[in-house]
Amino acid sequence: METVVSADQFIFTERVVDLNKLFKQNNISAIHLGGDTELYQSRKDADIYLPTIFFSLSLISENPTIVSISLNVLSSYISDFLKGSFGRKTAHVDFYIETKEKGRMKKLSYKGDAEGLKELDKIIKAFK
Amino acid sequence: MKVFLENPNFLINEFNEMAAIAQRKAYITVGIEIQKEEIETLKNYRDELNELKKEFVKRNLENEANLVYCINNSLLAVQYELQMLVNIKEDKMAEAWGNLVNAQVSYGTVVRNYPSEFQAPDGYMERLASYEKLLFPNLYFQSVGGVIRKSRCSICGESFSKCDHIKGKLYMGELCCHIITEMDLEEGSFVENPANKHCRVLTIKSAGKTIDILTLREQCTTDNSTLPKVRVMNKC
Repeated sequence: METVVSADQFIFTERVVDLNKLFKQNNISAIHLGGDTELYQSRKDADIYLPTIFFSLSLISENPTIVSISLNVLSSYISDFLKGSFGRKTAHVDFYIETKEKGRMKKLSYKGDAEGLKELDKIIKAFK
Repeated sequence: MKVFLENPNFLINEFNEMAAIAQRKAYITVGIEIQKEEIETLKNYRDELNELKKEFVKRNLENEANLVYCINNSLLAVQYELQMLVNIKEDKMAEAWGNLVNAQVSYGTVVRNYPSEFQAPDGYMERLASYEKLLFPNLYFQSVGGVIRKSRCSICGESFSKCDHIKGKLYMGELCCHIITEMDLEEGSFVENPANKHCRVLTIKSAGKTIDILTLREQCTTDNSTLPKVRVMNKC
């Protein structure tokens, strides 16, 4: 869904529930667009579909380590998830990064394994 | 590092011995009566482990209870493996596949939770993966997608989005599952790597005949549908 007209139309991937808990454990405050929801999209295949993650300019500027910490949380989550399974499995996640140019954002789509996520730190910071 | 109030080495040594004995019997050449006897031995030992876990839970010893879960489920995986071999000898191929998947799922929860201080049994997951390739034909799987409307946590019973428990982790010797109680089905897809390998195509239709994918035997059916039949089982 590209656009929504009301908050109850936000449906997130079910992975957002686990990630929220892990972010909380790591003292990262993640806010849901549209507020709390009980509706989640579930796909029962072996790939992992993570929620779209937005890094605001002020967040990256005020807390430079937040990107790497968040990516480590995501990476550990995927590694844990893939432990004890076999076959080709891929994580899918989109990042939106607010830039210094007012009103402009850049999108980074990632499709790959857990280790590759950690490498995105510098790329995301370079986008701002 | 996790602190263990009870010395876990005795339990781990006993597990290693049990697992080694059982795995020596997990070959297709071993007598079916010997394998069936070993399955009973494992069941009985696992009953004892369940009692031990209850004791640990009563005494609020979470690490110990979680270790017992891991040992219990490792042996359960071997039990399923033996049952799969028995099923094959008894020409029950669908059951054999089901038990192989059960073994993989049981052991998967161990690999994700085994305490890092102890070395998890090495190479067993690969052994279970090898069975898939060597003993079974290429299978076709399905995956469902939809919108979860209501769900709860298997540990605390609360809404899964409200509690702090993480799916797939152990809490006081119990695996945390996301129990979906209400869901709108949106799609079913054919996938190569499903989340649930129980959800597979059972039969295909060819020249008016319904053929079992595993045995290639013709099935007697009154169903006129030309669609492949798919088995779906719940999984947390």
